[in-house]
Amino acid sequence: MRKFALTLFAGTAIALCAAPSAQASFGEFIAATCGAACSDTTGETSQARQNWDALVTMGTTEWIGADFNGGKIDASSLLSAARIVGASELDRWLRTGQAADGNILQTMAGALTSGSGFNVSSITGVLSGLSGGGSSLAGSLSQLASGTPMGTITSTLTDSSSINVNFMGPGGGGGDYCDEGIAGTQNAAAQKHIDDMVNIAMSNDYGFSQMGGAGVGSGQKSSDGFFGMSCLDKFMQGTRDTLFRPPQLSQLVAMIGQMGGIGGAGGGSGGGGGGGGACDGAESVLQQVAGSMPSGIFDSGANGGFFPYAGFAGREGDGSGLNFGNAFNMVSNATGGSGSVSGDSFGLNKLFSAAR
Amino acid sequence: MRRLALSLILAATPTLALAEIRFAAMTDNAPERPVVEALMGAAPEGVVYQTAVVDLDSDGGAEILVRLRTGEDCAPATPCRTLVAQHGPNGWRVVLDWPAHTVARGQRGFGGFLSLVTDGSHAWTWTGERYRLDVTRTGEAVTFEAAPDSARALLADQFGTGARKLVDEGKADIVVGAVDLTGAGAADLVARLEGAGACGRVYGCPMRVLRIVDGQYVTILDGFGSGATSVLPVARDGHRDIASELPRGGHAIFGWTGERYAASNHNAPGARR
Repeated sequence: MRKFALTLFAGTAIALCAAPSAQASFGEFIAATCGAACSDTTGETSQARQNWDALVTMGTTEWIGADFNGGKIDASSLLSAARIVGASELDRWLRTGQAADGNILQTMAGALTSGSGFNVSSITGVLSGLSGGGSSLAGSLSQLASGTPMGTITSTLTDSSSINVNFMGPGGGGGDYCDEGIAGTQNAAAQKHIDDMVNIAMSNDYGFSQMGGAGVGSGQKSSDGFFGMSCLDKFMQGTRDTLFRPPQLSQLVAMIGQMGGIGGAGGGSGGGGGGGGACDGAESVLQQVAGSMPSGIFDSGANGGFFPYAGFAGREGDGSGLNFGNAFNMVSNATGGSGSVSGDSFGLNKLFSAAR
Repeated sequence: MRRLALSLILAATPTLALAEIRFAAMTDNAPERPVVEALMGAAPEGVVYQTAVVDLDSDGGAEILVRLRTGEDCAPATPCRTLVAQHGPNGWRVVLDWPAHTVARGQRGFGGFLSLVTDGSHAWTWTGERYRLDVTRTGEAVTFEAAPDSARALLADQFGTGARKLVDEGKADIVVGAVDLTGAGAADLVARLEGAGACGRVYGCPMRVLRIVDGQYVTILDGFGSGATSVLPVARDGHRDIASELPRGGHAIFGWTGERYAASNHNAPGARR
């Protein structure tokens, strides 16, 4: 679960003895929620009154003073969230953790944190909690605002991880959203793949080797396994190294030929001359290399490139070599969250028959 | 950035005889390039900007349609993100952003703006500020009526205990409508909680779609709606999409996931205005 950043409005302490104009203060709330150029302040004010009435009716105000995301829920934060999704959905989320989807949840949580600290007493008849003050001061004012001893506020929301959010089941996000359960499974599988790749790369048997033959992980040259071979051995015995594939002999010969200005010499389909005399000994080296080639090397498939995951299925085109296949269980078997649906435990049946 | 004189642009483009808007790869010296790159940035590697310039409001100035293509065409499974940019008092801005395979001109509507039809099914109409999914024209509208007294309390429970209290005290009510989402003739129920304090100014009113499973209703859609709601002609896994208006020109589209509906796309114009 993602943590929500706490944004408190520092420096908005309100003097207990000389409260500013309540109407002006609510204007600050409107500016913060509807915007400085809000075109319907009358409507916003009316909506806020209706929301507060609904919040009181449902008992949602019992959450005032509760810890949330490092701060406190106050009246203005409840109104800020209710303004966006409606008071009943806010109440449902606070009580059950259920929200329509992750985007709605994020919106409500953001409003609860960013909407706190405004004086909405003209709407609610009570002072909002302060921000930036000490815990004792904020706690006292919350008690004063709610008229409820702190001890009776039993619901405490610490951060989003404590909230049992019921998303819309497997693939419930669609479009712009991702079901948290599936996202977690995918992330875990991706991380496992990364970890597996790192482990393989660092291993002595199949890992990368440095120029001197030392293993990346151990820093030591192994006497057996991949690191036990000389560079030429590794170069020529491609099947021992599932991570590195030597170029085709034809390419190798062509490269040597180009170096020495030799055209089309050697085995394989290499060739291409051009250049001249860059490497005097190239021709003799070429003959030595070609002569020492095991005939099977000419049957190698396409080489080159580095596709570590694909390599674990063996060389392209054949089933020889080490075959890890799906050994790392990369197939996603995500089934998503519980996706529990709310059932009609009261047995509502045949609504339409009754209605019509 | 100045608006583009449509005449200059159309002089370089062939006459469009069909209703469908044709896009072409944006050239380096295309007059709309500065606008497109100002709004979207330079095209990332592998992405091609296709553009079309159309006078959507018949004011002599061009609106610019931009389509982001990464392959040969907008494949059936992966529509191309399509945007419409309009020059307003504060400069160019995006007034429609939607993934689509095709875009066609519709009828002229509010403000003299042509409506747009994407993929032959989704109708978009001008609101004065942006294009909005025309929910009623895009699908089959749901007709809502007050929930019968006998079912009101049970339906309210679907929205939570708080909603039940509001309904019991007469501060909110439930409206319902019947929909056939699978074409099998069986009716599912769309229920919406309405009333003071029930609805939000951004997301609208809580909405549920209920289905009878083993003799009991279960919630297959948990979302929001305000105003018109319709069942779209687009279906996923045998279930048709559901679209609903949201306040201030917004909309939400819900698609079937295999087990229930989830928000496929929604546009809820700002928490601020």
